[in-house]
Amino acid sequence: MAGSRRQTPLSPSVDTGHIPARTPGPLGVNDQGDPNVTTLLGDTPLSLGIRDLGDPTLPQFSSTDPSNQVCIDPTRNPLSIGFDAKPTAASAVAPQPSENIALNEAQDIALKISTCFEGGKPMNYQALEDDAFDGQGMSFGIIQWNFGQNTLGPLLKKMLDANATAFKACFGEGTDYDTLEKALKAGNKNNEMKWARDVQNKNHDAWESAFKNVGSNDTFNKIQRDQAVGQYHPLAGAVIKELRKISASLFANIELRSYAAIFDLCVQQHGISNCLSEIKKRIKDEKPASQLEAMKIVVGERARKANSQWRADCLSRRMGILTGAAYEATENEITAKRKNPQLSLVAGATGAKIVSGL
Amino acid sequence: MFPVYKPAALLLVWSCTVFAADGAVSGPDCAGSLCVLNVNTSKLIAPPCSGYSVLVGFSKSSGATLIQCSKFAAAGENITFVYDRRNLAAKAFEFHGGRFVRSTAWARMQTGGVPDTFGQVPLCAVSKRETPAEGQLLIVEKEPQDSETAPYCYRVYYVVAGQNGLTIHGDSGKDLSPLSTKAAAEWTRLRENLARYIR
Repeated sequence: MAGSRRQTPLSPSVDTGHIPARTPGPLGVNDQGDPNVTTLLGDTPLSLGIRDLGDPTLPQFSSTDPSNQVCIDPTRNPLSIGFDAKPTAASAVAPQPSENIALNEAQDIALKISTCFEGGKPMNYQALEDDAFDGQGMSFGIIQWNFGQNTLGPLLKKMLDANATAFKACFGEGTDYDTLEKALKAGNKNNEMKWARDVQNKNHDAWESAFKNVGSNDTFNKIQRDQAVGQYHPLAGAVIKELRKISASLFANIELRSYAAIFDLCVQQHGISNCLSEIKKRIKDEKPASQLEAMKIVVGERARKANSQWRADCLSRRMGILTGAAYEATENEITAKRKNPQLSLVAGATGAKIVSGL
Repeated sequence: MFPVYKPAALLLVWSCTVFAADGAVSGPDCAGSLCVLNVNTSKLIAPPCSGYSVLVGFSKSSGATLIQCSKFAAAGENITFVYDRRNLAAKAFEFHGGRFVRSTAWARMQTGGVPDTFGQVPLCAVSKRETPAEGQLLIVEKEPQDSETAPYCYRVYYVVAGQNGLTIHGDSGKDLSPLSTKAAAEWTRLRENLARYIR
């Protein structure tokens, strides 16, 4: 029922990673009304007090809830916190192996999986760190773009170009917005750095508030997401190209689980150039019958090129993606079993879907 | 002698000023005795860091200096050269896969961890971790750990300036081995390119 309210802040603190019940922008986009996300309880079509914020049987929201510390399980219904939700009819239908999935959807899934593996938390569009940490001016967004490495300037410029009015509106008094805008338009890293350091020194709160605003805008968040994918997809594309040189038939079409595993490999290990000969030899000798079997060789050989303390971790992550479930790997007497609720996105027949456009 | 060298000295000062004003580097930005400068032009960047972003961290209270060469979202490929700029004959070090952090962030690191590409990563558990001295250079290095909620953690390495030069001491008890003279020489050109900005 409309008007229900839980006796806690409407939006949880940013570092919980939960999507708030209400967000700026149209209802149904990245908020409680979005059928594609799991989010906080809010208003429901039912009577007040039943499975909404007024339900007295629910525990109070707490930032120490275990559910705030881990990635959200995508198989749970959007309004499922506190309940054992039944799957919807649509989600219960097993996809056919021959089904395709659009590249942008596959990228979204891959990014969610890797983000969860890396930090154990969902993507944080408002993540912010100041210059006092590592001397890179400032770091912002889901993969911590920064001025020092000249990656934040181009991202902010895209946001400015996409909607100059909304971008400017994020920056309140005390942020010297005009100086930032000039630096972004000129692509001047030196002035971007200077702006960041000056505004942090003069008005840290205003600086922080501005980037919280930027990170809560749907349009700008889509730019973040696209930019993050753009960081790793070209590397994934290069891997796929190499694999097709090794076996054009096995890698003619790329399955979703293969793409997600390659994407994750590129996030963590940046490619397969240092183990191409080993992969080629094993595929030639062992003649894998499927792409899945070939991919197990690929991720295994690449993992074994990592430093000894990382091998089990790398193998557990990639095999987890390929098999759709947590996988225990032991390398050099180190055992790792990386869990990730997002693996359900590539489990079973879904993982065998073919990614269109690759 | 003086009339001969004065124009040359003036030219040198003038050229440095113009170069800095052109934005070749940002900074140095100092907090206490620890300073950072960021290199903005590839003209200054030489092997082994061609194609990398370069940051310099240095202490004003000692000769401890580091040159960090990094690639965005690939900290595992970072290379950091650590040397004593006041005693270039002293031992130098090369650190692979680490990241420079300012010692001013020490308190935050203890509670919130280290900001990483995809989120905060805690420091690795140790029985006792030293608080760095003011202006001390620090390098952190990520490693996997056996935890469901925090699969990775950061180790801290301290650059210690002593009477006999520098040492690098890890919070795991591990000390870094110095570079050979030959390996350290590979950094000479880059080090010399940046020397004029470190002041």
